Amino acid sequence: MKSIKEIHNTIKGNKMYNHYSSLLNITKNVDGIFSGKTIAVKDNIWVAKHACEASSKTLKGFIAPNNATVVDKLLEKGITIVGKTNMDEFGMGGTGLYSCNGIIVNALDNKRIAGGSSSGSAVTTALGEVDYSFGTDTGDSIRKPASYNGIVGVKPTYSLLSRNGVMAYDPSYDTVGFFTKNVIDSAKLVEATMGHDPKDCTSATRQSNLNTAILNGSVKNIKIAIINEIYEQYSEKYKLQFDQLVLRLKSEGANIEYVNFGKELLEAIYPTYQAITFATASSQLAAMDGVNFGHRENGETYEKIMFNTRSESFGDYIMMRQTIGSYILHEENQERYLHKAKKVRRLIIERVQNIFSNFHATLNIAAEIAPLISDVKDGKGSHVKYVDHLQIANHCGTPSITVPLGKVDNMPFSVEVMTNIFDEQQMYNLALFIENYVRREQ
Amino acid sequence: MTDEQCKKLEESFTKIINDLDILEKIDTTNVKAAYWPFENPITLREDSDVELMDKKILIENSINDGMYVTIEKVVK
Repeated sequence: MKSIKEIHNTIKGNKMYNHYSSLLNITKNVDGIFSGKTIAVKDNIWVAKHACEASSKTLKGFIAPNNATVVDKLLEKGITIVGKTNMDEFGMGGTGLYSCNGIIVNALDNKRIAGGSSSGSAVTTALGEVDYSFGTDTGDSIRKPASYNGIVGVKPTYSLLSRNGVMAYDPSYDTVGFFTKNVIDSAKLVEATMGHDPKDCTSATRQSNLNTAILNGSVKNIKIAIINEIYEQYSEKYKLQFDQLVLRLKSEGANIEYVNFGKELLEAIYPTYQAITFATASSQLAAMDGVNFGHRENGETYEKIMFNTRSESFGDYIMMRQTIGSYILHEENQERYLHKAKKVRRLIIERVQNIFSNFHATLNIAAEIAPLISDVKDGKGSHVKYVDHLQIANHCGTPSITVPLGKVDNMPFSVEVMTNIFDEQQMYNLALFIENYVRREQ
Repeated sequence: MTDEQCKKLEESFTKIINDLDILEKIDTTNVKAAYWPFENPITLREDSDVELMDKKILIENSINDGMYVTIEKVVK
């Protein structure tokens, strides 16, 4: 292991990526499976007695009173924390362009977005500065940046990992996960941090079947569904590489079928996410009024303090989401947008459960390569229609992992494996097969 | 907020509200259940009774600790 000073110097030398908000050197003198390993922590996860600002001006100066449970669990197993990473403000964004600390750029091409909201965490692991990094995934915030930066990103089953000490965006979606260089490390981190936590009232009492000791990458007799509408939207450059993987899976004994998800439901994935999470976020962030909580601007009255504080502290993007969230929460709009979205979410969940009644896993191209920053700023859309399909796993609480498959225009892209809730073992077995396949092909 | 920021906000707002109208196309007549991802009983913590403290002491302690004072209700 490099010394912490060497690691910090490397990070400082890479400051053009703007991926860190603070550098730390925290470890416990214990021997464990992560002794000698380093991790970076997304800046919405508490590390005791250190700043935790979620890349928002409104939280400047906030010091976390204690460790998040997931942080504690890894410290107890010997890991060293090297710093906190920049992110889209409060986890809202998907690009790395919305941090109060500036734009975070892609590890492989600084003209492209890093993806978000766990942008800095993705970049630091992709650059090899740390062994692993923490992220949170509310609507693909780990898996898409992982795909954009050519590394492994996992969102475990909802509620499998404690969210005690993790700043909320939408508590019915937020999930803690990891960026790693390989699949086995990802599985080890989830295994080390999962489990019921009485400090998080939504923490699952049911256990995952994950056991890294017996992961073998076997796909014999696994039934895999590929969603037709998602597959069809990608260009031949992606499909050809994906098709090669499918052929190999079949030759190793996997049963693969193409299934229709339903275009209406796929189109509704992002609007459903928007309606529910924007409304929840506007409610969550109401506390940041400069009076009860958070950074405070001056004002003559209570209202003016709130107005000045919120206008000055929040970025444009997060203000837009809160404005829409407040609009959705108006009594006359709740039935039309919020309640409707909750029902549509239920339909999405039922569709996925229906697929898992016949299949062990779904396999899809995760996303196109990272777009150019200039294109995103100019509002140029993606070439694919169902660009947010990774959010299916967020709606359903199912575990999902993205594993690098190949390159297009010299930039990496990944495939996504999703399995039924608490079936991390199947997800990691298939992911391990894909990783081994890619290594052999290279 | 500047005029430019307001304009941008308005544009984003209109676009997203239009996107949300996609939800109306979906038939949810027979959806009765709540949206929670799966059966995951929420376990509430059994906290012991909170000892009530005199408000004056609370405020003094807060000031001494350099913490914000919580305003529970604003009376005009």
